[in-house]
Amino acid sequence: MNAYLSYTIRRLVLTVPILWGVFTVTFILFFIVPGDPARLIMGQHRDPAMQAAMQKQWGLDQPKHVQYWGFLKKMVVLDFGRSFTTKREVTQSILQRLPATAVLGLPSLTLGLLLGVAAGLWSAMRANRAVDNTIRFVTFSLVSIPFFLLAICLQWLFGQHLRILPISGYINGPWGWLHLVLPVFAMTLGSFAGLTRLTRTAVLEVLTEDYIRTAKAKGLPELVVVVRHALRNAMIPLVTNLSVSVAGALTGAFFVEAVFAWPGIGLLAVDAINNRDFPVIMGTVMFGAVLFVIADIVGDLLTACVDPRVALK
Amino acid sequence: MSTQIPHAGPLLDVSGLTVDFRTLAGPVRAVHGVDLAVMPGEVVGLVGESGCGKTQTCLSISRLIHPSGRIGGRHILFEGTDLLQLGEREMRRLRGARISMVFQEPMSSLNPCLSIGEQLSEPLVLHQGMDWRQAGRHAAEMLGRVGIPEAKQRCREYPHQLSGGMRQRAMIAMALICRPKLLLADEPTTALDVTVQAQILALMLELREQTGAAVLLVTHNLGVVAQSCDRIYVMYAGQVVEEGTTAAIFGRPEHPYTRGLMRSVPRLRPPAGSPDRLESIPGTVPRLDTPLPGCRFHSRCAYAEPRCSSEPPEVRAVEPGHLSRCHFAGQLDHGGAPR
Ligand SMILES: Nc1ncnc2c1ncn2[C@@H]1O[C@H](COP(=O)(O)OP(=O)(O)OP(=O)(O)O)[C@@H](O)[C@H]1O
Ligand code: SF4
Ligand SMILES: [Mg+2]
Repeated sequence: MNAYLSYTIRRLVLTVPILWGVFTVTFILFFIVPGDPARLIMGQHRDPAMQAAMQKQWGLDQPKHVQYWGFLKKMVVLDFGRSFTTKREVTQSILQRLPATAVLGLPSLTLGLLLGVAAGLWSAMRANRAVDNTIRFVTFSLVSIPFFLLAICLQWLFGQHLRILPISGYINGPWGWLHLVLPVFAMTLGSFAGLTRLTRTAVLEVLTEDYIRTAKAKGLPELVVVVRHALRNAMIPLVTNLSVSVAGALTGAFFVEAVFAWPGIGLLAVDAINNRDFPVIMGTVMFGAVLFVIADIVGDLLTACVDPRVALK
Repeated sequence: MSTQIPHAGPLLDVSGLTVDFRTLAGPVRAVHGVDLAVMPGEVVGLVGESGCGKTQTCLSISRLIHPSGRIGGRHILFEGTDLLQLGEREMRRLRGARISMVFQEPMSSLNPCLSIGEQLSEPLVLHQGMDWRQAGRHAAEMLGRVGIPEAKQRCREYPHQLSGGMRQRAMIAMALICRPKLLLADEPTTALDVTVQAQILALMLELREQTGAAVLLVTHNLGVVAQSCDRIYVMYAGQVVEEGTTAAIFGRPEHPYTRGLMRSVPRLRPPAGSPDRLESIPGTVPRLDTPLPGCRFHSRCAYAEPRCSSEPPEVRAVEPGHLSRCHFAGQLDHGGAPR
């Protein structure tokens, strides 16, 4: 356990330069892309004096390096400043919206993982038979269709056509959970498809290994061979790439929240980008980066748990 | 069940065994009518060049060939039961309990993610209904018996922490842990260092004596069969070409292929007058995906006569228990001299 702890600490230290890099790139991108946030807020009624005042208030009139250091210094203590548009503390907004995103992301990631691994396993066990071909066709289609298109199709089918589910928003109350169904479904489909394909490939590869033949030679039933001897080894590439799955889920959340008007962190980010709301953009990007880095570390720890050949260094 | 009745006669009786594969290039008959018998407690060698079908013969006895293959034949009788007629369930009950296997690659034949103890315990839990604790104790004891020091500690380790020889010892322990009646050992020592080979072989034979298991020992090393086997089957291109006691096969080989194999064994002290160069059989094994009229060995045979290329030879008994698949079995030394 000690090895795990010291490994985690070392990895956390190493994330500092990564986060700094993400910050720098985001900063540069924001100022490369043309468009002045103050000008955007005023819309049709352009008033140069007011525009200058707003720029001054947000510090946008200062030299770039001064702004850079100013932001960086505050960010170390998790202070991203206030939103240009809503004037609210960015950290506060993110924390406030975290539950909405979690309530969407955690169930769909869990469901996608369970269903994806199960379907991938089933597919591999029946390789090139009807079940496998069906699963492959469905998941291939799901992976190929752009995510937002899928979400819109679901809205149309269940909301417009069948009229059995609300298509967007987030309402408290006894039937509020109904609003969860479509977005969770859409997000689950996304991670399900990718994980099914990953699992199928990994299991098929492991099934050709000599130790699978050894397991069969012991007289073990097929299910035990597949679950105890194949799945465990097939999970190695999956947990190693946990961060990739989480990154996929983050991107998914981004689209799903936008399409379903789900008031989570993804929607916060989409709105911020539309408004060129720099502090919020930076806050949400850094939030995503931290999640990704944590997933990466957890993935490595899990790999070391599953694969005895891997030693944490 | 028939396994309870004391069974006289062979433990294993394979008759007319065929193994066919469908490949992209067309059908391949890897095993072509093999007859083979193993008596209880006997050590039987199966030798031949690479690709002659030794592994497929072995695997089809426990019905573990690749799914793209088909096993055919008259019967595979094990303790009087025809394995070809058994359902998958009954077959599983035999595997690991009464018929065990040891494979060539100790590196890849053990699961890298399960501890040695777990892997050794599995057959006990499955076939003898032990709980994992009890099975773990037996596993450690068995590991000790195959000469692995600090067996308790080793049980907790994983395959990558053991040397190749240790792993093969663990494989043998695993195969014998349920005291099977038949051990199918497919080149158990080929992947090991020469020095370790002899130890592993000795260990296998010692344990065999203790447990009374019969062994079908697959190898292409004639030295190994000479040391350890009671009887020998020589395979060529999917067929058994000669069968006999070790003394008979080494003393009076009656098939030209067997003679060729013997000559290709390096000798420490070559008999006076013989060339000290290693004499391998010229030519290559015929492809199995095309029909082979005549004797399968004729293109490489030093004794071949015209009829050999068109007329497939029958199996003939040279003496009781010594069979050869050659038109000139028993008269090689009197008929045409090798060209
Ligand atoms: N899955 C398969 N598909 C097609 N052909 C196969 C397959 N497995 C084996 N064969 C063929 O069966 C033949 C016999 O193979 P086998 O493995 O029994 O040889 P072997 O005598 O054990 O050789 P080696 O000494 O190299 O282990 C080979 O010629 C091979 O081409
Ligand atoms: S039958 Fe003819 S070709 Fe075949 S082994 Fe005998 S002599 Fe050689
Ligand atoms: Mg082989």
